[in-house]
Amino acid sequence: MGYQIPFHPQQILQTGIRLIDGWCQQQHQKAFHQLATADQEAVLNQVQKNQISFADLGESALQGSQFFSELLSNTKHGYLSDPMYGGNKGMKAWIAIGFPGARASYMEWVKQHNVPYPLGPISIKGEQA
Amino acid sequence: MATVNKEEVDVVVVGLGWAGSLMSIELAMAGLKVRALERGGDRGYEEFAYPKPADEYAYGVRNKVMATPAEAAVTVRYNMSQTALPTRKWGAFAPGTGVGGSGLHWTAVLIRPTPTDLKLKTYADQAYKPGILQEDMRIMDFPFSWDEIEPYYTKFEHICGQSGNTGNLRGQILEGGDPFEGPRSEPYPLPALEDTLNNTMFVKAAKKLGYHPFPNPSACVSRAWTNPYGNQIAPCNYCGYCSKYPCLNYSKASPQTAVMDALKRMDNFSYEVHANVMKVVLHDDKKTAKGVIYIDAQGNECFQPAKIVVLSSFQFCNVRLMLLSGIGKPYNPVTEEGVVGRNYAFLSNGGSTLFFKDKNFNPFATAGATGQMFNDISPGNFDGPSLGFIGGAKIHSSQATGTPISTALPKGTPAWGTGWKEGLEEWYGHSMKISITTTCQSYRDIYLDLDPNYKDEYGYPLLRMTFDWKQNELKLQQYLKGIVSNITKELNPDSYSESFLPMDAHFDLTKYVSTHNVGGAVMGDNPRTSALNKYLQSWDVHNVFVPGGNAFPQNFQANPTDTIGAITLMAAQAIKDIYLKNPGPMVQA
Repeated sequence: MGYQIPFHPQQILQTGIRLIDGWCQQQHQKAFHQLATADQEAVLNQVQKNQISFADLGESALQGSQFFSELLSNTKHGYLSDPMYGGNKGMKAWIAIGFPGARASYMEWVKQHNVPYPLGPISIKGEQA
Repeated sequence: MATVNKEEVDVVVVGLGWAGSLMSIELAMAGLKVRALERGGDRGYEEFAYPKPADEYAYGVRNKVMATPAEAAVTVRYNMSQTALPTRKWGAFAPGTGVGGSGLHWTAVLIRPTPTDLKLKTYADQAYKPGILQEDMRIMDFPFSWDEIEPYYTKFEHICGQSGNTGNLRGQILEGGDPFEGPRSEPYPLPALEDTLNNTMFVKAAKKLGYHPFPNPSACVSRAWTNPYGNQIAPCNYCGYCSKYPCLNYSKASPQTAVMDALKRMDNFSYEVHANVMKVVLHDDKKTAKGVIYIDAQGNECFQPAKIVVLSSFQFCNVRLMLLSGIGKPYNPVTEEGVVGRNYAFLSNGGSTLFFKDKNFNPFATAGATGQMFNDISPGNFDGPSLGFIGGAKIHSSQATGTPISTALPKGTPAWGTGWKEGLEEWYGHSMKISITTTCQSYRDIYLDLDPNYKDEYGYPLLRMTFDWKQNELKLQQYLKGIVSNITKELNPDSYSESFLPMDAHFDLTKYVSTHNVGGAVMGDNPRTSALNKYLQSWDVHNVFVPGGNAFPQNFQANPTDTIGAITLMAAQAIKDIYLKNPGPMVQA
């Protein structure tokens, strides 16, 4: 029946990070951020599929998949939102996908069908690519 | 702490969204002293001047101008055997708040239902053999004729600068519009918005398959417009930040652009923000209201006396206020006695997303209402009776937004990591949608009441919603899947993904559908089955009027705002013409 986890988002992230770091210390004698990229991806895959059980680690209110879902959506938000939120530095994500950012005015472009938009993005604070 | 008594006014308006602002201006123009109380904050233009709204994260993701669950949560359960749980995070719907309400940030599709939609019970009785439709369906006719309501649709559409192609002008069918629409007394105020690439592709395919597409009727205005109140609305610049966003260009008809400037100039109108109405206070005989109690911005309890009370908060907030105030008898789904809470309905959507490697859709260059649709699949226009369900859908290719966080990716794209980044770079801007927006009928055991467990911060029970899909709507979804599939194949994309409700679907609270919740305090001819008469006047408390989506006895496929505007304007006119001269029930049951 919708979101009923008894945590607010910050608690979800802090709890998940703590549990996963603890698990990584046990399994690999390293914290998550110290693992090689391939190992990090393997851990994340397992968390996503609840193959690393948060319940087994003593956490009954939050599942690994729920933490992963929150983490992934926050990561996408940071990656694709305006740079003023701290991610998408230099609007690199927008440049990569061809999104003009905060230009927000296309009266002459809306009529031009199937023409790649030629201008780079701008941000809310006025950065230009 | 003592209650602060305010000076009496002629009209207190609870909630300053579309319904509240229309009631306020119409009654203030008639010389009445009107005071509006708005739970949320003020929303002046400086708040949404460019570039502030060009921010997908704030508005699209974090619902910046919506109510928070802490302010407006309801509890939800599928059926009467379950315990309802609170909406701790918005999902399927997300109500607005603040001056302008949802009208500030809506998608601006401004469209009428058909005359058949408004007399659905009559149509059902005549077109369906007994026993075809499920026994627990409780659809009703709207209590007015097309001829009565049509001038008010026209009036609201002129207030909004509705932009589109006329289909039926006084009985004459015109090329380029909806041939199925009810006759209009006047053409659309403004021409249609520009078509985007998805529009033209959809139109070609739909026409080939025999359908009758026309541009989504739009309240993102296509040309500079001065409305009957003297407010000016600027031509849309297709900024791509529309649905869920306040308009950065003064181009979207909203209470702000269409009403508030004129309204705020009137000396006999005033409003207070962060004024949260708790209940309506009735006289001892319960036949009239004295005024409303609210908590002001400083936390004081205040009493606002008034001769007329208008409840124009959001649909389910209106129903909750009626229940908390004892206006009308609460609905009992077992005995079917009572009226407040009955006939709650929602809607469903779905469709396919089509991917084309060689097409640049430039989805960021778009207006909220951008799209083309057809109304061939609506009650009375196709053979629903032989298919065993009643209802229909707008079938459309719309492009309300082109922002990247919400972009679709083809099936098989990894959900994260390098593969996801590559997929996003390859496919952003290369997809279009074919969507359905369906009707939703009303049923005996789909209803609203007060929750027995959960309360708001003031100790009052939250509203409880008992809702799940019925077989009628699920059969409709499966039928529509076939139609959308045909159009998809006609367009021949590189790949596509589909989303339709299966026959065993439960209501998914986590995925956004639309905030077109309707019903719960419906208008009708019969006080045994409706809470309000045709003028939105409570059958029980004659100086209380409840304009909003709550008045619909079931949901048609057209977006609700045009009808909410029309019934509100009709109610305001009746108050001016009839009620003020002779306060009392305006309709004999």
